[in-house]
Amino acid sequence: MDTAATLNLAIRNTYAKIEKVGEGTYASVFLAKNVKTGQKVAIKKIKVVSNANGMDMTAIREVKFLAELKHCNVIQMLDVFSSGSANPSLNLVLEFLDTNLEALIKDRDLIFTSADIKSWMAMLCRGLEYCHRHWCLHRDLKPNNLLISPEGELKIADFGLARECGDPGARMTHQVITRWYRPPELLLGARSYSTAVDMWSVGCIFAELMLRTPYLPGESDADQLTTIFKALGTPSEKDWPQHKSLPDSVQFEQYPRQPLGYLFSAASPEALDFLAKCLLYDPLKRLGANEALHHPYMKTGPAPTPFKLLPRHPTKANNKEERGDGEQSSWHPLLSDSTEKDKARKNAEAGGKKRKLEESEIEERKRIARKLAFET
Amino acid sequence: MPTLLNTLATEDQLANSPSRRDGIPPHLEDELRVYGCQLIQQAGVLLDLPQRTMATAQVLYQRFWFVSSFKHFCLKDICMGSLFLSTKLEETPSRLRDVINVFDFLFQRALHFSKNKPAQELGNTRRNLGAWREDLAGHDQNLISNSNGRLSPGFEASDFTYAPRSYFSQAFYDSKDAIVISEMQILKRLGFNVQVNLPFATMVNYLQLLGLAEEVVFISQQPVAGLGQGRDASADDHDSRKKVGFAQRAWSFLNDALQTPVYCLFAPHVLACSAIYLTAMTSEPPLSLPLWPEPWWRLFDVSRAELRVVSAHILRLYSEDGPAGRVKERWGGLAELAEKSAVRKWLEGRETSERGEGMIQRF
Repeated sequence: MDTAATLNLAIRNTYAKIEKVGEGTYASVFLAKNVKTGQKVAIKKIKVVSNANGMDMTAIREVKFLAELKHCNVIQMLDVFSSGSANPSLNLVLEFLDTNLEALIKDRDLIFTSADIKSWMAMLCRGLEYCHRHWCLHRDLKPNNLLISPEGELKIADFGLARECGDPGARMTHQVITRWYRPPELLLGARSYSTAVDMWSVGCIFAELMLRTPYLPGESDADQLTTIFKALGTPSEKDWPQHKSLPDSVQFEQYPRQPLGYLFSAASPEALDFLAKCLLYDPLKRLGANEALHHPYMKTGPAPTPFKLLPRHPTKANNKEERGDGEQSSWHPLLSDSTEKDKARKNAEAGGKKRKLEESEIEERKRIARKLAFET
Repeated sequence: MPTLLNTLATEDQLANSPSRRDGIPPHLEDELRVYGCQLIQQAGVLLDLPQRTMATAQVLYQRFWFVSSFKHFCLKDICMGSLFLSTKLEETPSRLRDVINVFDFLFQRALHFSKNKPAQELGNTRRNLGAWREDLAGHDQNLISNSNGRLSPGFEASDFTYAPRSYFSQAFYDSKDAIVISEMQILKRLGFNVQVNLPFATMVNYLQLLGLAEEVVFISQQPVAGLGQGRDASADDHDSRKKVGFAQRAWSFLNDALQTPVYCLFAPHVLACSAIYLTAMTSEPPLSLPLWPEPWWRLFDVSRAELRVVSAHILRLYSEDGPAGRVKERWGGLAELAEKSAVRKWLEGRETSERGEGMIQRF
C-alpha cells in the first residue's frame, strides 16, 4: 500500500461510528466519535453510484467548498475519506450538529423574543458575509439548512448547490434555491446573478422567524411569483428597472403594495426596514451581507441573545422519543430534502423510487467496487 | 477563493516520483506527462471548454503523478478522469459520452500515425522543415501543442479517417467504467485536494501594475532567443521578427508551463511573475523592467532564484531534446504507452535487454 491509501485508512480509523442517525436517497448520516480525542462528529456518507455522470456533482461541490470555508457560522468539514470496497462511498466528516432552525421554528413550545431572532440573523449574516467575501454563492439557504450546534450556534450547511461567483459573463442555472426562498429574478429566469439571491432567502428566513410559518409559500413556480406580488406588490419599472427584459418575464396582474407593518405588527421600525431591504425587487439595490451586518437593526436594542442562551428543544432524550414513533426516525438535519435536488435525483433515477437491482447489475457494481478499492 | 493554497509537491516527491521508483526513467516520465497534458488540451479544445477547465485538468493530472506511478495507472484513463473531474469543478459540465468520444478520436488518430509513420522518418522531416519551430511561432494560444486540435502542417494530407464507435459498443461502456473509476481514484489519491488556483488572472493584474497590459513586443521567429540555429543571414531583420502583445505571449507561456511540473512546485504568483520575466527576457530586444530602487519581482514577493527555476523548466520544453520536442518527434508513438500494460511490457523489455547487455559485458 502506498501513502495515499495509508493516509485514507488512517483517517478512516480515527473515527468510530456509533449509530446511524439518518438515511436519505443520496446520503446517510452517522454519529461517530474521534477515537483519539473523543470529539463527537457526524459522518455524512455519500453513496457513490456510478451513474451516467460519475461522481455526483453535489458531492464534489460540497467537498470543494467545505474544504476552503472556515468560519464559526459555517459548518466545518474535519476530514474526508473514502470507504467500502463493496459499496464505494465518500465520507465527509463534519462537526456534530443536532438540530436545525426549521425544527426550532416548528416547535410550538418555544417562544422567540426579538433578541433571539436578532441573534440568529446576526449569525446567519456573519456566515453568509464570509461566504460571499470568498466569492461563494450558497444558493440553497432555508431554515432547514441552518444547523444549530449543541451550544446553540447557528451554522450554514449543505453546499451541494453552492458555486463560485464573480465572473461577470458566467451563465448560471436559475433552477436553484428552494422555491419559497427563491428570489424573483431567478423565477423570471435570470442566468447571471449574484450574491443578492442569497440575501432574498435571508429576508424570507427573517420573516419566517417572526411569523413562525413560511412567509411566501408558493404552490408552484408560477404561483410563487403571484405569492410574492400579493405580499409585496407587483414591481413597477421604477422599483425594478429592466425586469421586463428577463427571459421569462410576462405581463403580471397588478397587486397593490401593502406596508410590511400590517403583517409584522410587533416588529421594530429598524427590523421592518431590514426586512424591506432584503426583499427589494431590484437585486442591485438589495442589502448586501456586509451592509446587513451594519444595518441599524443590528445596532439598536434589544441586543442579540448570546447563542448559549437561545431557545432550544427541551432535552435530547425527549426528542428521541418523539421521533421514535413516527416516520421521522430516519430524519436528520444533515440530510437535506431540497425539492430541487429530489427532483433532479428522481429524474436521474428514471424509474423514480428505489428500484430493485437485477442480479447481473449487482455483480457489475461489485466489480466496479473492487476496481475502486485501493489495491492496484 | 483565496483561503486555500495550492497543494505543492515535496522535494522528495519531485526527486523520487512514484514512477521513478518503479523503474521508469525520468525522461520517459517527463514525456508521458507532456503527452497527457497535450491530450487534455486538445480534447478540451475539441469539446469547446474554456481554458481554465483545461488548465485545472492538467494541474490535477500533474499532481496525480506525484502520488502515483505510470506503472499502476493508465495514462489514458487519468487524462480522461482529470478532464472530466475538472469540468465538474469548474462548473462547465460536459457529457461523459462526449469526453469519451473525443479521447477515442485522439487516440485512434495517434495510433494511426504511430503505425503509419515511423518515428525516425517523422523526426527527419521535422528537422529538415523545421516544422515544429514554425508551429511554435505560429500559434499564439499555445506555443507548442496543437492547441486547435488540428495537426501541424505536413500531416493533414495523411489518410486518417475516424471510425466512430457504435452507440452501444462494449468499448464505450468500458471507457465509461474507466473514467468513473479514475475520477474517484484521482480524488482519493489527491486526498480530495482538488482546489486549483490558476495564475492567469494574477498575471494580468501584475501586468497592469507594471503598465505592461497594452505593451507590444517583437519576438524572434525562433521560439526563444539564443536557442537553435542562427537566423538566415539573407533575411531582412524585420521579416524575421514578429509583433505580439506582451500579455498574449506571457499568457502563452503560462499555458505551456502546464505541461511542466511547475504548477505543482510553485505558488501561482511565482508562476505569474515568471511568465512576465520570461516574456521580457525573450523579446527582441529584451525589455527592461524596473530594477531600482528594488527589482520589480520583489514587489510581488518572488525571488530571482524562483524566476530562474520556473523559466528553466519552461524553456526546457522548447529545446530540441526537451520533453515537448521529444514528444513531438515521436508523435503518436507515446499513444502506445497510454495503457499501463504497455508501460509494464516496456519496462520488462528494458529489464531483459539490460540483463542481456550485462551478460554480454560479463562474458
